[in-house]
Amino acid sequence: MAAVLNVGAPTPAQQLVPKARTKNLNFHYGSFQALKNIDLPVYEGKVTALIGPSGCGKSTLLRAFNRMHDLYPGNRYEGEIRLYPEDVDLLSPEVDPIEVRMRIGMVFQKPNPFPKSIFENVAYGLRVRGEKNRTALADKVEAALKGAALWNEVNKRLDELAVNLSGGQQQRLCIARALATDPEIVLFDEPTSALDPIATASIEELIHELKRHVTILIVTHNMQQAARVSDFTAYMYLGEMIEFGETNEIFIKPKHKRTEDYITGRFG
Amino acid sequence: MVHEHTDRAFDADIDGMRTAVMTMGGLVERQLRRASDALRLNDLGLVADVLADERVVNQLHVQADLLCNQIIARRQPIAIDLREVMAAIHAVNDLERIGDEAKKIAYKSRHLDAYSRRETLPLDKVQTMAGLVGSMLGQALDAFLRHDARASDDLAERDREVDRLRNELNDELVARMSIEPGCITAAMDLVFVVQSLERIGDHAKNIAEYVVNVVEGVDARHAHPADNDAVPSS
Amino acid sequence: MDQQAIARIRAVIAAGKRRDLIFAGLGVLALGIGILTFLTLFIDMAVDGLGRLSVEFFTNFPSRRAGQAGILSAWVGSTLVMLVTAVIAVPLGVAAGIYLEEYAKKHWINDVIEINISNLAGVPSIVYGLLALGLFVYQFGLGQSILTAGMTLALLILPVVIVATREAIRAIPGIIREGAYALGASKWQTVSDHILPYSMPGILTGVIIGLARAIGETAPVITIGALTFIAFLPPAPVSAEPPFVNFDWLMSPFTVMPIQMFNWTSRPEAAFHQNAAAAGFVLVLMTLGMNALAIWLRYRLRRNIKW
Repeated sequence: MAAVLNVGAPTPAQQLVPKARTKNLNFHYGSFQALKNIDLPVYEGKVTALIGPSGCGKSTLLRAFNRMHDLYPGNRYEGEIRLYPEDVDLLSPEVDPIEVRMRIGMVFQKPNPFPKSIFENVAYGLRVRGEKNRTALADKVEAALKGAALWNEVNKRLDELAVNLSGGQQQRLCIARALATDPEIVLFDEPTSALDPIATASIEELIHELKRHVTILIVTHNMQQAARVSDFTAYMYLGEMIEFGETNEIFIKPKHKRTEDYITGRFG
Repeated sequence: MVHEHTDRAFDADIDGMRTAVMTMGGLVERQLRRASDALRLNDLGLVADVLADERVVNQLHVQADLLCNQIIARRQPIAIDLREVMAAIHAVNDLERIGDEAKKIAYKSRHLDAYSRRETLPLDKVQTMAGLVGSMLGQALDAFLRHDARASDDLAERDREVDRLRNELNDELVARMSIEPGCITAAMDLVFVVQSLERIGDHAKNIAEYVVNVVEGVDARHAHPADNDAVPSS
Repeated sequence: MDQQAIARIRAVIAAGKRRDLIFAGLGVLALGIGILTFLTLFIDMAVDGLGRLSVEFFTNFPSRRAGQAGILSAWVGSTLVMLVTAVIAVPLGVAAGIYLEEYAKKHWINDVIEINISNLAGVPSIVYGLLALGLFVYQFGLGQSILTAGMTLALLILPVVIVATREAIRAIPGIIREGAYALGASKWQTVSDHILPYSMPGILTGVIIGLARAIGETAPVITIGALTFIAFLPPAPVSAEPPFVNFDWLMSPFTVMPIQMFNWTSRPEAAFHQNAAAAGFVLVLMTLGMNALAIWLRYRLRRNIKW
């Protein structure tokens, strides 16, 4: 039966291109197992949200993608995170975590601009890669700030301190900073939980724009945000992925009762 | 059956909405029963009762809609809660239409009061049809209360029976009108009564379909083969 | 709320206010004793010595005649020794602090090192002097020189610099660090672009406080043999002939302010005591000046940082 209007229908499988996929991913903090056999697909040009109660492992899973866990002792990965199209395992010991972080960017929960100027903040990722040419830097900084919908507000004061911006502006600056290096995936770790509703809405609008150019994986404890912003949603509980599906399905008729109980507030 | 939200006030809101629907359903059932009794017993007092109920039914319609609006605005319902609210919104519309059709039946019976040769009309068959439709309404409301998704198939079956009765009655009444032109006014009244009853049956079937969506997340409307026939079966 | 409950609340609040007042009073008293003691000593010294302050006092060498004695060799010696101390202690201490915070893996050896560094801060300064005498003066043959004094005092304040560095680094929020790593920075890039610049205010404060302490340290400097009567200055580092820069001044005998004061106070003549008071006054001013510098630097460098 042909669809008369192309709304609300699930994306045909041919249009989905996998950008990354975890395969049997397990993760241990010391003796505690935080992730159990996670198989999560991440599709290119789409926003995938990770939801679940506190302690379910969603942030742990997110931070595995850019190997942030490598910074701290006592952590152990099992399984793979494959990045496409090269089909390389990001967790393999032969892959340098620094290279992974150069290809996969991150935006944190609390805006964390460096105590430097706005320009230097956005340019830092480029400097780390050895970019020294002033013009190239200026161009890329401008492009990144435009991509983060911040250019018009700051273009006359690029040398001012970033910490003097408002909370919402700081977070957009952090997004610009992550975008400046053309990452393939951007990880958002509860990006608006420290922001007021208007700033939150502007970040959500930004995410909507950004997914045209970059793949996004977002952790949020705000279910309505996941519903508003994501194309795909994964519900996690106690380190396991309970359900994964299109956001429309998950929020109207999830397959698992546990998912439905959580999202409708019947949990606990 | 649906176990509680962590926020009990949400449960209270949903209960309030369902109570409004069930109260409206009960009143509409009573309207139908009184309207068909009025026809059978030629009792004009019952007609007045039906009209009195109509006022309350309309108020409940508005109230139920308001409750649903409030739940949507304040609770942002999703998944099963969303499906319940959508079912309630649809169901109260169907119930309001049923009440309206019952009112029309009541008016027609008042009109028929003037006819002297009632015994020549197929009133028994009309009563059978009214009984069937009334029972369908009862079954649909039960299914709504208890989240019984199996009623939909049953009611689809009974609706086909109702359609068959309508076709028979229409044929009989047309035949009678061609033999005896003097009864045309009364026969036309009955044709309209039969039409109203058939519509009530459809609305009852709709309500059962909404329950299927609540329980299984599947939109059962227009899903039965007969619904999509290009040529009507009558 | 009923009257009884309100009355009870009010009684509790009143009792709390009384306690606040008592504590504030005790606090002011404690503060006052400290400040008053210092002010008394300082003013006493100033009253005694102010009269002696003059340009000649700063430009004269010590002399057997009290009226002609000055602190030239002493303050030049102090300054040069402080210079050497800083040049040795700062890189060593900051590097050690950075290594311990950023690079050292969690290991029991590092815990032992950490405990020992804190302990070193409590070692009596004369012990450093003995160490320096045996090791620097005799074993290494560096003699009783500015270099030896600088090295000794550097060892003395090294724990202070290391601890200040570590505390300053720890004050940097983890998310800033993670922010740098998340952009693909290597450990060294993170340290040099972020950790070091942001901890600089704290480090500088610690360094200057350490130096302010070192400038007044007498015991270790005496132990290594700073002379008490120096009527000459160390050789100048720059000269007209090649090589234009030389480091002979490092190996030169010297004296420092505390020693000069000590020397003068052990003379019987009252006039020398006045000299000592004047020198003391100058020394306190130098110390206060260094502390003021620390405060100002900290204020300037901390302006950009908001955590």
